[in-house]
Amino acid sequence: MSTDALLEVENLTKRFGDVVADDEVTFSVREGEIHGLLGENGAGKSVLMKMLYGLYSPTSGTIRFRGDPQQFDSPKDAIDTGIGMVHQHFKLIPRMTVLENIVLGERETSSPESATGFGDRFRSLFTRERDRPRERVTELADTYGLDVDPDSKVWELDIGEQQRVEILKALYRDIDLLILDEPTAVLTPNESQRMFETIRQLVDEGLTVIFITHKLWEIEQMTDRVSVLRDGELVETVETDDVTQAELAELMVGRDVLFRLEKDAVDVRAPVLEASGLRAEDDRDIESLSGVDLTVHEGEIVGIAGVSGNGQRELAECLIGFRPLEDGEIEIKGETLTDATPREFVDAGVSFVPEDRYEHGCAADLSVMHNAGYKTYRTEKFESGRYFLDYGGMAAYASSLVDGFDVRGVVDVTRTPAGELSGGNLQKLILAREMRRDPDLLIANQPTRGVDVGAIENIRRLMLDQQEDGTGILLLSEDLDELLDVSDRILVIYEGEFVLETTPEETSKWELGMYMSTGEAPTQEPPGEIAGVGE
Amino acid sequence: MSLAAGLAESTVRLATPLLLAAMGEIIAERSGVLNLGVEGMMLAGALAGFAGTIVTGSAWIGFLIGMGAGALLALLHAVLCISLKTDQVVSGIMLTLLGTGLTTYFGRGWVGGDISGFGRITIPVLSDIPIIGFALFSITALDYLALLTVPVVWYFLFRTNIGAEITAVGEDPETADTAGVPVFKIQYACVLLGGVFAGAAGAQLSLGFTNFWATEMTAGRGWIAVALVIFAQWQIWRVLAGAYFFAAIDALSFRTGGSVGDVFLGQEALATVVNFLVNPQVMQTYPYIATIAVLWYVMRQGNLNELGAPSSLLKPYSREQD
Repeated sequence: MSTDALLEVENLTKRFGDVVADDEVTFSVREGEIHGLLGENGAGKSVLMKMLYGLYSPTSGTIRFRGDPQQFDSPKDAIDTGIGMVHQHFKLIPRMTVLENIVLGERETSSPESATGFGDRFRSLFTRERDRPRERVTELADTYGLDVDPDSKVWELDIGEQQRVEILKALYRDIDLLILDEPTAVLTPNESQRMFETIRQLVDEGLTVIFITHKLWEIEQMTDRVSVLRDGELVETVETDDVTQAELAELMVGRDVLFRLEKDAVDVRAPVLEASGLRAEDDRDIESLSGVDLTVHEGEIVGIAGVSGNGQRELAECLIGFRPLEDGEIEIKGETLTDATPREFVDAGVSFVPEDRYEHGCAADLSVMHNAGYKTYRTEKFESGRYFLDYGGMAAYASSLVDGFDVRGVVDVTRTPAGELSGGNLQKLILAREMRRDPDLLIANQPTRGVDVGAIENIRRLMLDQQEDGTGILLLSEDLDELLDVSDRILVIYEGEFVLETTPEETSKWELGMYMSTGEAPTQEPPGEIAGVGE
Repeated sequence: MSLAAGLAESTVRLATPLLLAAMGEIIAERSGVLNLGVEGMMLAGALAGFAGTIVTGSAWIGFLIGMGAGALLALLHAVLCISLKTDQVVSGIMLTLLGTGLTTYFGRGWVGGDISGFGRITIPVLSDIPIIGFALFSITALDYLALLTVPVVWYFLFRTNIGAEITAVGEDPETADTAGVPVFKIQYACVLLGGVFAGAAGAQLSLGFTNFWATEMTAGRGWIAVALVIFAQWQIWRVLAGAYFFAAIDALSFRTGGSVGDVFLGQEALATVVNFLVNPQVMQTYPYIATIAVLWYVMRQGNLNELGAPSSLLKPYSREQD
């Protein structure tokens, strides 16, 4: 291996029981580079990084840092070696202040030099120092444009600020290698750009970065080299400049990926959903849906575009009976279901893919089998005797969903908790559950958010297949490419009202974007190509 | 001694075991580990302290032995809950039953034993202050110690690095772990410390209050300490206030003996009601009723978070499965 390698990973393997999360992974990271780590959800990226950060102990293999073999028993060991990590789900304590979060675990005392005598140890435990760390944090924040008030509580911060705290927390620990685990997953495009600038600045000053993502354009924009993981194996490490996005996608998924799906024209028939004058309030009792009329026909995909928080969630929840209506009527296939319960909507043939998979899409601690069955367990299919459930049948049914929809990471359908599946695979399981019951109406809220390219393609294809079977689909999405690709009709929602009805042929991303952000028709001509945004 | 001064004195002395036990419990719970075994640990502390004093002839050594006994039971809880990740509620109740059973069995031989225990330390002049003088300045070393633990524990939890780490572990052990905090060591230390405090609380009862050992002599004070922590919403100063409040009720039930009502405004019906309310056994339920009232009041509009409970209380942490 080259001598300028900061980190070398050799034959690193991690098994959980019979499942091999990472299989003999070997790669190296050069000092001062941004090294991309690309892979689908569940490919083993996060497990690999957790081993580098001391959270998981490897089953076998070696980690070398600056040429020396390392054994990390805890994150503390990794930090002491010079490795920092910003986790995908932030590791911050909301009740504590920014400064407390950053300093946590460092045991700062009033004397700047670290010493090891008993007295010093006592002092490091039973006193604390805040002024010097505050100065240091402020200095770091100023240097790298990571502005955030050290004395505000973390729960008061927005997502972008929280991420800046995470980066500060890592930098505060004097690290040489920073691991960023899907750092843009929760950021808006502007926040992402801002973070990219910070990362470049850090690298200019000598930091080495491992950048984990499943977004191809980020790899292209940010990294020097990229290692691709697939099914726990390291497929290849390449210079980013030498590959195209299509090649990367193929390396990652193992087959050609279609970025655009062929969509056949489908005859539109009778309406399955007719809703009129819908009004509803959000969780804070503020009106968020202000008199909306909506019709979805058999075999039609209606896309709802809008900036998050303009009433999409409330609309979706009203249409499954989960959120009380203040006013308005809902008919499913001609049957009035105004003020009906969620169960009545389920029985009427309405399926639902919620926005928050872990919160509303599954019972995370229950098995895949339980989750797969929880819209169908009341049907005759799983009746055993008169009062009992046919568990064998349910397990077989769950297995058929898992196989049919390519849900990965399931060891045993009756044992593996749904919450342990990766985001994309859980989403496939939810889609499987909702679609296998052959619904008349499918309401899908952000079905492809946070899911990797391969799974996105799968999910879109599944929706198109379902449409061909005559299901009416209401697709709420923030991804305009997706809406333009699969919808038959597109409605733009703005502050709880539809402000535009159009079709993909008649509109453009730019026009939709203007309606989404202003609620009005564009007043100026579209600019040229917008660079750097989008996948 | 006037009735008021007597009540004040009893209140301060009855608050001591509650304060000590609740201080320990608050430390353990703030690290995320509920220990419902306080009653059992207190009994162990009471018996071991008493026996230790008789054997060694020194109340201080006895007191230390009592603390050790509490810590020993707490260690069992720590191993079960932190290392083996069993249910904290089940393990805690088991600990109370175990402590009760063991002390009943081994305590038989010590019933009727005689010690002089901790004597009063009377501070001249100050103890002559009306009503509270005697209560605050003529008490045992252990009572002074209990009062001293309040600011010390407060400082420990809120003004030290280790205190911040304890809070972090109780809020979110995974986050604390990724910040380099030794989660398991801290939880062990906190649970053990909780045991030391509970043992001290029990030893105070037998060495500084009754000067004898009796089966199940804690009489539910361990449970009151657990309730007190909830009542105080995990805040140190409220534990102090709550301990005095509960102790005052206890003192009142001691002193009045259910006889107040006879003279109550000459109204027979009212007297019956008042007699019921001041019945010592009824009064012993007041701490629990007060705790329920606090829970009801807070939870009516909020959630557990607003109650002040550490976010990861009751949730065992293990690193390799998220």
